[in-house]
Amino acid sequence: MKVLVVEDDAPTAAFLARGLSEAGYGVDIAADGIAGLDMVTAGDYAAMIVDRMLPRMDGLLLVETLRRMGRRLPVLFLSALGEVDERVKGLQAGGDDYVCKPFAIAEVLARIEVLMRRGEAPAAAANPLLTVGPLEMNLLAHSVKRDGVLIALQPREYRLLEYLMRHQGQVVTRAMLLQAVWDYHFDPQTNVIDVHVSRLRQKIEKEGEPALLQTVRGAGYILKAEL
Amino acid sequence: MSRFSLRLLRSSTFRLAFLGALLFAVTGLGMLGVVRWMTTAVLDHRVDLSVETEMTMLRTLLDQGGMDALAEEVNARANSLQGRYRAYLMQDGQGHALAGNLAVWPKGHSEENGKRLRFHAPETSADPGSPVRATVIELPGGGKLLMGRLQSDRQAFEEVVDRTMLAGAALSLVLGFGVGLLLARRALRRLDQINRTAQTILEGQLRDRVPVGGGGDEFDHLAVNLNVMLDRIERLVEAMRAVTRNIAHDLRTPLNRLRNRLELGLIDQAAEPRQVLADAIGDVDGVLGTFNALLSIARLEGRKPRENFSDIDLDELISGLAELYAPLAEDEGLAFTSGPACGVSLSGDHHLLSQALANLLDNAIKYTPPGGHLHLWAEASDGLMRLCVADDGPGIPPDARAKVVEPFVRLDEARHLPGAGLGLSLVSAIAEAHGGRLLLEDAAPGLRAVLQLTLPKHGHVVNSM
Repeated sequence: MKVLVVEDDAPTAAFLARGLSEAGYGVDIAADGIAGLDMVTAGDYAAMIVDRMLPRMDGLLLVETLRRMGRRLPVLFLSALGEVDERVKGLQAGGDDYVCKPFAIAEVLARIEVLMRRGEAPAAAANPLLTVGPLEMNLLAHSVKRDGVLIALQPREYRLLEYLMRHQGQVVTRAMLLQAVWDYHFDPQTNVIDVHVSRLRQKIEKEGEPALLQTVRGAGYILKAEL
Repeated sequence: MSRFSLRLLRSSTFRLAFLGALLFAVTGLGMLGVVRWMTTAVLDHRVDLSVETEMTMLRTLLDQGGMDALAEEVNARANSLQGRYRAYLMQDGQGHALAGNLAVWPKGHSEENGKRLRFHAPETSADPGSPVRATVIELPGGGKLLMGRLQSDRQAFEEVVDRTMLAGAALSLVLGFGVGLLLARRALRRLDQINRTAQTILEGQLRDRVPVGGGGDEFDHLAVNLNVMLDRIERLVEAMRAVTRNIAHDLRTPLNRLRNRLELGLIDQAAEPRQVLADAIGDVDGVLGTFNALLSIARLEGRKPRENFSDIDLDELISGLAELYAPLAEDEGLAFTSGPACGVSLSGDHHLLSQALANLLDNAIKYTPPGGHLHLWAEASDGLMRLCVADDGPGIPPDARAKVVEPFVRLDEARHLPGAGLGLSLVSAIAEAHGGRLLLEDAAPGLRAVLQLTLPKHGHVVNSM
């Protein structure tokens, strides 16, 4: 699985490459928009990370061109322009997600993985059952069971769990949860997300049961079945 | 000529005033000229009439009494008291004077083939040099009779009118010059005050203001507007200085802490390198958070009005945030309530308003000790929309409330708590972007932070229904 990083700032590009290769991806780097477009059309990449402001060809234009050529690979925008409307512009141009500089590598890794997995399992939509180990969610009945025992969840807890289950085995960050589950795009100063996650955890993990929802230090959370 | 008087002469006020005076003088001269011309014409006509009348009488006498009777009558008339204001001369065919008070035939301007004669009165008359209008008739035997009247009144009138015209023109020019100078001086003085103020401000004295006279004239309006502008500039510059000062102070502290941590990690053999790095990243994240908040405030202040505005259901906004924050408040040992519903929607930026309320809730949770109570609600009254977060924590002393809204201000009591102190100024900037403001009120006990926005006119709500 190869990821193309289009970023003109060499240290940032090297930092991304290092993080991505440690996560098991192959990485190529393009230093400007035209080179990026050449490489992504010639090579076989699973995803690309594009800086918004690039020499020779703007990141927005690059992605727009790519989409007009019919290429559907996931694109994650990186930008120092953090405003919500900038984010919207990036998504309108054909980007799939948007991360503001300065970023934590965990945030980028979590989001790029979510993007690539999304492309993997298009058939999942037809299946009304999500399962993670003993945990089972019925999307039609809006019910959650662990080992066959029904768990009562608040609507928001249900949506939180649904998001975690859809991204099982992937690290999701607090910002991703706040965006996807609550549709807020700001950085909370307090640990407001942690409280919601820990309440959900108390409901889906009874005393003595194996842990499913784990905290990843410095990154976020991961929901996965114990091996 | 000093530079000031040169500027006076060049000033537009002076030029206008002087041009006005010049125009006035020319108009006055023209009107008086017409009056003069018409009046003299009337006077000439009257003299001509009376001369004709007298000549007719004399001709009748000639017809009845002959030449001798005429000569006698002419002499009698010429030597009478009134004769000094008349000119008579009766000549025979050889040019010898037969009667009259003129010694010789006068030289002058003749009209109508010598039937009329215009000349100037001789030395012997009552008013030498004054114009005479005379009529001439032929006498039997080739002689001629001249009879005329002095026009002293006409000359006097002309002199008076001419002098009036001259004096009037001179007076209006002098007055125009003087008034122009005065007006220009006044205008220049006021402008000089403004220029001096501008100069001192250019030299860095932002405190200086343009003096405002009490008259309420256009210069006062200009001065007031300039002063308002200067107030705003001063506030901006002051805010910028404060921000710079505070960046220097508040960013140096965490950067210094970071440096110490890294240096300590380098020296301390026992230090766990990964822990040192993780802590260092935490420090850097704090600094970056401060920068982001600063950038957000700057962007808010610089952005277009009503950018990204949409209709927002306030009850949805409130319940969404209540749902997000209630668990956290409970975990911190605080009771959290919200509502009641107000049923109002307004035009605003959903993202910004939720961020503002989230900041206020963050603060309330951070500063209210366990056992306290938090309340989040929206209310509308008298065209005002109030989004409120109240707590019963320690509150903010009244004298410090204005201060905490400024960037970076943190009260001494809060120095030990994490945070960069930008939250409230960001909220304040968001309120201003919505045409409102952030109010900090005493909730006795505790603090009530209020985003007070003006409710848009109901017109568009009605239209949309």
